[in-house]
Amino acid sequence: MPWEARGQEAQEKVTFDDHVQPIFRQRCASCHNPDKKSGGLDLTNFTALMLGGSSGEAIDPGDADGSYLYMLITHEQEPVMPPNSTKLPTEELRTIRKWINEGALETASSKANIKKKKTPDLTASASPLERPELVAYPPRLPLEPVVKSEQSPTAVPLAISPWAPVVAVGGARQVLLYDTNSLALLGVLPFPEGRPHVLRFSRNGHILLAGGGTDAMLGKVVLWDVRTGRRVAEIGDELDVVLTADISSDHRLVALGGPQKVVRVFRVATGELLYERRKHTDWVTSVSFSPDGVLLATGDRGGNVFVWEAETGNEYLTLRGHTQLIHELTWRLDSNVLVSVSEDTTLRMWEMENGGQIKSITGHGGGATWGVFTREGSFVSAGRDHLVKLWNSNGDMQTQFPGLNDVATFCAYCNESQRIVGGDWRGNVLVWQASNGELVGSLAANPPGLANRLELAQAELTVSDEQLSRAEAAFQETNGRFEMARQTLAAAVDEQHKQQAILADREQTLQTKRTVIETKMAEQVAWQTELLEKQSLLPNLESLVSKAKEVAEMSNLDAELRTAAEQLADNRFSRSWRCRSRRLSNNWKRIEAHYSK
Amino acid sequence: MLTSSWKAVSLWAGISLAGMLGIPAGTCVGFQHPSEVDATAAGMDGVLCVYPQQVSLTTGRDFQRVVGQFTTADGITRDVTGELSIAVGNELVAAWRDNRVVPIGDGETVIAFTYQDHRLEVPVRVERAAEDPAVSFRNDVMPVFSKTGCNAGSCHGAARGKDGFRLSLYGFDPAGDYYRLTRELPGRRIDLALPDECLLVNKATGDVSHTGGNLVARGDEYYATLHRWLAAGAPDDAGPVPQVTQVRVFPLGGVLQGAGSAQQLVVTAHYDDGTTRDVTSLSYFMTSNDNSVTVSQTGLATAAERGQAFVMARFGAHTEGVPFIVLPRELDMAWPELPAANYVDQLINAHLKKLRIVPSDLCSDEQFIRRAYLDICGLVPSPDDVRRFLADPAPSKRAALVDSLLERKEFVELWVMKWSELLQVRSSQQVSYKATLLYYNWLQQKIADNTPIDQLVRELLAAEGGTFTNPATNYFQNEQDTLKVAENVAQVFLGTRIQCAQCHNHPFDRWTMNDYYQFAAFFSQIGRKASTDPRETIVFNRGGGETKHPVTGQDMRPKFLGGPEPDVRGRDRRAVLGEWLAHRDNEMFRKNLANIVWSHFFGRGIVHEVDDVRVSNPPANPELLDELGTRFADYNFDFKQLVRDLCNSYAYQRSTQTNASNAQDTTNFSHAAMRRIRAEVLLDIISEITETPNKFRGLPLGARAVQIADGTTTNYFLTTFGRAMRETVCSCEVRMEPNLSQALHLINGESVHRKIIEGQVIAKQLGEGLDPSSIIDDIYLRCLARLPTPQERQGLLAEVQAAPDVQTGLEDVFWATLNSQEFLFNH
Repeated sequence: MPWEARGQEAQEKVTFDDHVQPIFRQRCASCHNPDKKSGGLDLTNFTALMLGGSSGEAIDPGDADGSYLYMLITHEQEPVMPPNSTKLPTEELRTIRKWINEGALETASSKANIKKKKTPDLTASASPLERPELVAYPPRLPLEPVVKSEQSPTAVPLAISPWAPVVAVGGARQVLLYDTNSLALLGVLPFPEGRPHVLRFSRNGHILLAGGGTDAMLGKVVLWDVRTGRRVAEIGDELDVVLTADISSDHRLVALGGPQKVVRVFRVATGELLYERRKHTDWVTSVSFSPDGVLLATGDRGGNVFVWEAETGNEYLTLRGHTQLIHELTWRLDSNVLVSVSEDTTLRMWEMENGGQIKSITGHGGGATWGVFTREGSFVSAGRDHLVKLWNSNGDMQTQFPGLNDVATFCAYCNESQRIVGGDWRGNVLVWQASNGELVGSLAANPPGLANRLELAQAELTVSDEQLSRAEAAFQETNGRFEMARQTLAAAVDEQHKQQAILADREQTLQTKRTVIETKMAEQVAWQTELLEKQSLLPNLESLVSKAKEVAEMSNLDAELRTAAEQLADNRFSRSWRCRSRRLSNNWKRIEAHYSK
Repeated sequence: MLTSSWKAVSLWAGISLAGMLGIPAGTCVGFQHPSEVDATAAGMDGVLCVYPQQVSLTTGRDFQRVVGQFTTADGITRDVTGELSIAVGNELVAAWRDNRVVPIGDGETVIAFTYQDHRLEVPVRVERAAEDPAVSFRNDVMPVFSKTGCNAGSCHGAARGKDGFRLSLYGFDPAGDYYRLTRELPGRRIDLALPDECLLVNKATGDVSHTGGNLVARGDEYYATLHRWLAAGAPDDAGPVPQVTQVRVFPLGGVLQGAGSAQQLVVTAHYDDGTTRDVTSLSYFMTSNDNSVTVSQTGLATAAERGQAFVMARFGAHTEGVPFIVLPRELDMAWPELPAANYVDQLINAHLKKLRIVPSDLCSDEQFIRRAYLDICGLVPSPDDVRRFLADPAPSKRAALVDSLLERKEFVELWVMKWSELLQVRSSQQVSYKATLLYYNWLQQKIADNTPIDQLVRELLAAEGGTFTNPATNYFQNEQDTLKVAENVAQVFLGTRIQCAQCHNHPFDRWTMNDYYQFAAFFSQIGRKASTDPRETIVFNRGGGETKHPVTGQDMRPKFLGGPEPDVRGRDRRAVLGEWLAHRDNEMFRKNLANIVWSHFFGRGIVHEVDDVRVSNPPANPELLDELGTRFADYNFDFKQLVRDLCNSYAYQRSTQTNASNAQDTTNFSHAAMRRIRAEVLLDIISEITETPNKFRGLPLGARAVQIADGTTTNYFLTTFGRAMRETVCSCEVRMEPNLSQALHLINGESVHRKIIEGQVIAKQLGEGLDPSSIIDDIYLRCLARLPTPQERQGLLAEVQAAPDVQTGLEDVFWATLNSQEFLFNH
């Protein structure tokens, strides 16, 4: 140890017991205590603290800036801690920082154990069934594609985050991230190594893995932190492309395989080779860690499937039955069932106690090419029959997703949006609703460049503008017509009103006339009665007249009396009487005619 | 170009023209079947030929290379393509660029080619010039794989592929190749997003490590084809594509003088839609003898050492070749007048003249009598025969000897033995010993009766009935596999090996898988059932049963090999085949039989091996083989007449001693070949000379090994010297090459030493009072058909006198003579 270092050692050490624990007790222990253990993290004692929480290790001895806990308490990252409050006092932050940087000693007698690391620590300990506290969704990322190709890349690999509506689509020298809900491009992750042959999200969705490279030249596995879009690790240096790779659920191990027929398992933290297995006699075409991280299943081009202990590489099971290339091995989330997807057309379900085959399904005529379990235990598969199929946990087919027009090469299931994404050999990527098989849309594996997209958008805008103006013109025209129609209508309404008024008028007139008629009829009746009365009186009157005449004649003397008598006689047949009777009878007839009409 | 118009292609008219002009008739050597009119221009100093004679271009991408060849008065050819001056008649129709005719617009015109004062016009027709045809996987992309060797047997064409990638061998399965290239491993071999960087291209250009190396270069023609296909989305052909019907190689041959002189070749393919295509750059070039002529993959044939070679081009399933002769730069063109006994000599001499090889002189009478006895009868002449022959002053004594030998029963026995090999007369699990003997007797009877071979073969192929009652049915017993029977029939009677085509199109011949399975279909209906005697089987026509094509799974209709599809309804297919196969008009059949006979007498077939006739193994002297076949058929397939022709020719009677010009020649019959005597005959003559009888199974004491009926009957001597077990029909079963165990057996084994002791030949002669010198003479006459030279006699007498006793000394001489090269070889 150099002299200076010894001098420094003489200074007072910052230790957990002496300095840090009091701060945590005061500031954090209300939530992060052994009983509550928010986020799976307990900060009350050193051992528990070092175990970390569900988002992985809380601190990284030697690297405060890289420690998750420190990033949260300095409010550099969400969720800020302590929640809903200001940062810890600067003095306390400085203490914690110093403590972490000096190796996070427990006591004054502890030895600092600072790991020399190539890459940031990515470990996670969350259960694959448990939703991580922090769901990784990509931040704002560059949207300019690295490669803009005329034709779509062939057979693009697909992967969907288990906890976020994010689908990764492989392309030429890039990986594209799309939102499964909006189908919008979220970002472009460059992959200058060549072509990704496999994409996988880690079990908690925080890490995106791409395995690939340049065929017959270079093979590599690249890890990105989905939360930042940053490339966090490059693993392996193969002489041919990486055809398959996987990351363990705790982010500690990466396994890869390819045409070199060797399975290699690396430590993520250091990038060093943990072990390699040369049991496969043909290209290694699928490697897959069990969700609990205990087992590693590997398959090859000849149809051999082996299961290993992930940590040691000890052989655990040989799964016999397939006769052709194993395209994919996918685990049920409880790690008890493995489904192997093979070119020999079958999907086989295996139990992991003895390696027995539970079921063999003839999945796709011509060969099955991909398969993936959902959170619920159903699974989705793709095949040479151009179809993507959804199977329930018993292996009964539920739904077929047609629409691809070449060999379906990859499929993925989005637990968040309940959508299925499938791709074919030609590079078409379609999105369906899982529940009913309805086609939702498609994703471009070769999106045009921004400038291009801008141009396209501009062109679209121009087109839209034109359409708009056309629509406006049409609207105007329609509107004019509408106005005319409205006016016509109003006129018609007016007319109707008028007609109604006329009708009402007429009705009223009719009513009036009816009343008049009735009155007249009553009058007539009255007159008739009067007439009858008068007629009955007439003989008397006649006799009276004659008597009066006689009287007058008898008494020519009385002139007055004679005049009166003559008037009486004249009045009997006066004109007014006759006229009235005629009019009445005419009216009557008219009324009768009216009603009969 | 239309196929019919190709009838007009040949140099031969030019040759006859040349003949009139005083050019030797043999100038345009080796050009095949030149019976048609040619576009040639003759001048006082030679003949100009331009190939092809007609150019037909279809679509804007088409083009045609043209090659000019000038034949000088002494028969030497020169490539004058670069020296031609060219005038295109109508430049709106075609143009001349980079030694190619390219289309400009639809129409017809002529292009005039002029060399010195020779002028030739070649008609050109252009159609659909404005059209840019879509790239075809089968007709554009796959030829690139064949050309660059990707689908060769040593590379991805291997049965299990190479480095994880398989193509069908020489492209016999285009659909499978398309699948494997595109969709077998999605995303691995091709990627349409970056067509210039996908594995297919990177491997082919060698930009990534590739065991096969760099096969194409970015920017070259092959790369352009691959790129065009990928850029179009790597499409499969939408429907059937035009099929190649014929491939032609130009010029039709060449006589190159001096190492380094070269001739460019042009290859055209004719398709069944009537179009033609220049496939020079898509053809794979091979040479039969790269010691004499090398050929580059651009089709440039270059002369090396003196000799001849057959230069071939393979395109698709077609292989075609042209003969080349290389002469030294300084060569005395003076040619001796050679006598000819008959047509054999005429044709051989004509061929030798082209090669400027002077044949050896005739052999001595001693050599001739021994040679004739051994070849015709499998015997050596007795000392008396030799003395009588040598003393005979008649000039025609050799012909008389041949005639007398042909009448001996041993001649028949020798040919029965040869046919027994071809027809596999041997007992086995399937053929009882009794049936074997009956089969052999049937064959012997047929040949002893001088039954024409065509009739014998017809009877054999159509044979029905019990293996006892009709022994010919045994032919279908030792080999019961339909495909193998078909292969054997082709190999024995037509001299061609079609085995390759069982799994893929024959790479060096014209046979396709279709040809193979259609031929096998003739044997798919053979029925076999048990008879009352468990040793007998009854062979009959089932009248049903088909062979299936293994790739397409279709039933194959019977079709003669290289011939038409006959109507076989209601007939025994084998009988139908027999009528076609064993017919005097069947050129393959008659030439094959003639070649078998020739091979017996000359130690080497005109086509060698005799059962390996193929495009890439052309006859050493095609005219001779044609003539022999025709004559044999005219003789009604009578062996004796053909043998008489052969043995009376000077070619047969030549010495094994070579001269300066023919020392290197082993294939053109310019001198006699040294041949080790075959096993049966060798044992027979040792027994004859030592006067010790042999005993073989089923034959009386003293019978000859040649007479053994059953192929499985043998002894140590016969096995060591390579007697055919008759397990296969291959001519290679009879092993003729000397080896160490043979020499050791003769020196140390029982055969020679014990037979000398047993036979008591020396003791008897001593008993008769003959002196050692006469006995030595007798030993020489017995074994070598000649008297010892004075030096030999003197040396041997000294040895005898040095021996413990005279008998031992003479027996040592006897032993030594029987172990001499001169005895073991027919020379």
